[in-house]
Amino acid sequence: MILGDTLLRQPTRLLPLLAGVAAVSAVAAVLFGGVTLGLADVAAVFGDWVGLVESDPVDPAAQAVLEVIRVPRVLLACCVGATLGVGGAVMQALFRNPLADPSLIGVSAGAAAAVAVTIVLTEVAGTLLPLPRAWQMPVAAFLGGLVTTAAVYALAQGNGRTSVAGMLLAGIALNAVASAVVGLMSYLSDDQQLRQLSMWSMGSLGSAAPGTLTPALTLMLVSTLGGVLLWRPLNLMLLGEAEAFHLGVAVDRLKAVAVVLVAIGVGASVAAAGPVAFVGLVAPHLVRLLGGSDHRLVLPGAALLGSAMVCLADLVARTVVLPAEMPVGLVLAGVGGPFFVGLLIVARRRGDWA
Amino acid sequence: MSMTLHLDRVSLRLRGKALVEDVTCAPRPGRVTVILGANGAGKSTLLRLMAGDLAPTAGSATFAGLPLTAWRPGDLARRRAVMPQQTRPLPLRVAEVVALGRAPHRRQSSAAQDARVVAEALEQAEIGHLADRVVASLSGGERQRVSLARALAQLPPPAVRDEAVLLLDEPTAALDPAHQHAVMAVARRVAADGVAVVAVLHAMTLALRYGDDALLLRDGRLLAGGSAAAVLTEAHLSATYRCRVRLLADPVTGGHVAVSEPATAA
Repeated sequence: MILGDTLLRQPTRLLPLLAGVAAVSAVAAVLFGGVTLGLADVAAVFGDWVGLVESDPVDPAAQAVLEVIRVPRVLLACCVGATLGVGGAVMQALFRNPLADPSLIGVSAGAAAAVAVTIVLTEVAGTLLPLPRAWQMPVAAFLGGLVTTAAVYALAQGNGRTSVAGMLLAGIALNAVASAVVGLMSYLSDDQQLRQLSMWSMGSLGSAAPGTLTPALTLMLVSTLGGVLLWRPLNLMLLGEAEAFHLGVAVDRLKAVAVVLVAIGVGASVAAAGPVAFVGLVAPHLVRLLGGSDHRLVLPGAALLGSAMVCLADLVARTVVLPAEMPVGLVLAGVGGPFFVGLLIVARRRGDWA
Repeated sequence: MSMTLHLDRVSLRLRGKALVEDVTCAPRPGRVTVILGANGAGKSTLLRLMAGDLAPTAGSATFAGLPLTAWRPGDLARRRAVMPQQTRPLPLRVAEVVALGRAPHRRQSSAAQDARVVAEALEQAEIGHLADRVVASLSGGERQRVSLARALAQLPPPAVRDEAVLLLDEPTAALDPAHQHAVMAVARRVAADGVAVVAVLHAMTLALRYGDDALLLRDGRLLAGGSAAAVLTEAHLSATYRCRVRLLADPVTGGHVAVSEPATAA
């Protein structure tokens, strides 16, 4: 873990640095795309929104692109990245395993199965969840994630304690069941649903539009902020569950709260953008490499870095194959996967905790 | 006598197997109580019952009159510290890990006070020179002393130490002789402040030298319990370990050292 040894001593310097990276990524993602906007245009539109600047007439085309496409999309990208980054860090702390990820214990798969059901069996979904359509998918995804996680929990409980190995194995089994549900739904779907399903399952931020965003963004903010606030007990969990209890952590309650928070965030993110892989794994890992394992740093750091990663990946996804666009999940998996394998190899050579 | 930890006819049975059976004991404030027993005799399980990690399936385990299961973990942590056998090879610095011991006291304590307690604990565990090292890079024995320092940092302020318990799980298992004595000397000093110290030990000679009271376990049951002088006899120890144990007078200390014989040589 000495890779960031010089930074390790200045965690206070790392967070502003990551905040800067996240901000620059977000601004770049707002400016560039199918239509490149000038900073002046963007400033003018924002000024108009805030009502501070009575500037020159705003370019209506730029305004439309910003309001309808760019800003909602970048907001969604930031929130998805932050949520997945924090969710990954929380899960890794809970399992004391740096490879743990919400997708590992079934939150993502359960959420995905629930979303597939709401896409294909629209009437069933409407009856079971009598909510506005914009809330239906994130809430269904949250419930799907929560049900799977609760099942993993029940399967992993024994002697009043939760076994990490049992939990991971149960997660594998439930992942299989959930992907069977997704498969069944694609089998039952009509052409249009199948297209929606397969685009969504590759991970895309294209669904972002003003109005439909509020539910997902709200849930993701709750999850991210809640997760960041758990830094103190999660630090104690690093020592082990028994040791955390000895130091005053109500371990079972902490696990329940953390799992629900992650299920809320990952559910909302899966509903809005599909299963976006590797952020939950890579973002916290990189922050730890740079700044050590203190969760006071890891949690907000993973939020900032995750948000930058998704913003940039989405920028690549919607610019490299213009006028079409790639699913952002493919970009992240394509770049993030090999990157992470490289990290693992380096860490193993150094004999680090990896 | 102020009552701290009290186990009354405590049993723990898992899947029909009795790990601890009908044990009654009350470690006394200001004294070092040692727990001895063969492998699998239930020493660590008894310690985990005392820590509140495990709830007894029969009998009652109370701390200051309240069942351990009824304590809020945060309140219990301000009066009961546990030193596990080892600290996991964490990617954290030694000083950071020891500072985690202050977590239960954060509302009562100041940053300056925490820093002073952590520095003291590092000093007592003789790892001051390792403070800036990453725990993952330390040897097993060094990590064991990190565990000790963290448990020491968790102890309450001196004024209320006679209401506190320090539980040590095989605190000397990975240590060289000099550090074994150093750790037991720390246990004695902590007891002198009024803390009820309980230590699971393997080395009989350390028990003879540092124990005020002793509990002997065999097959989960209490074979003998009471003052070390009365309990740590050749007959009791031989029965505990199922092999002949002789106690030899040590002319230098005036105490005894224990020698065990192969089971067949008796």
